[in-house]
Amino acid sequence: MLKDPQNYAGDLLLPSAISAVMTILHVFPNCRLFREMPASTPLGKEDFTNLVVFCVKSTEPITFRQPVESDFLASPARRQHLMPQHEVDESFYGRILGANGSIIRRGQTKELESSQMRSAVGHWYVMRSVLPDVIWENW
Amino acid sequence: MHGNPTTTIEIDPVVHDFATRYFSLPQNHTSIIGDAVEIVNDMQSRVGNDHLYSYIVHDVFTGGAEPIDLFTQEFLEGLSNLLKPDGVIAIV
Repeated sequence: MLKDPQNYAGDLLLPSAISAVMTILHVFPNCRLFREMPASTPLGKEDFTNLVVFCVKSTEPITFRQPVESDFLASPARRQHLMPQHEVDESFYGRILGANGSIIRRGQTKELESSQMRSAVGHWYVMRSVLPDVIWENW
Repeated sequence: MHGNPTTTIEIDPVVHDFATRYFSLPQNHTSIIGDAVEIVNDMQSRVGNDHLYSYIVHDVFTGGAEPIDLFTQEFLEGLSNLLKPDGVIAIV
């Protein structure tokens, strides 16, 4: 499965990830999207893989109150990550609309699932650079 | 806001077990082990605002691929039906 790692880079800009975002925005029109890390380049593969999307059913603007100490429960990780920071810009939505994706419907997922096989290969290619192969194979 | 009554849905009982044993998953919650597609579908028969959720967190990991069944229009609409009118859903 991992014989052809060099083809994974482009496939990480997943049709399934784009379609997932399109479907979320179709069902929940009032959303705000945040990246995990600041955008340092134009839309790249990592942009779709580390998103958090907050949506509401009302038409009220989505706002976040400033966190207070008691919100963090003495967790440095919460202190660092609780408040969403890196919101996607307007051009992100334009890229989604212009990208090769569609609303995902139940029973119509076969093509997306096959594209995910390539992504999963790519994902594990990356994971095997994080920890040696033998760790994963013995897990 | 902490201390909200929480329901978790997890397909793999080992994940729930490990979360409890090694990651301090609080025990004062309702745990449902099973396929979220079926469970959310079963929950559609709920009526009344008291049975709806203020917050829904959609956070699934399968190692490199989103489970597409959890991102269909039908599944997300099912989640929307379980959310209070002023509720919030976070999708990771």
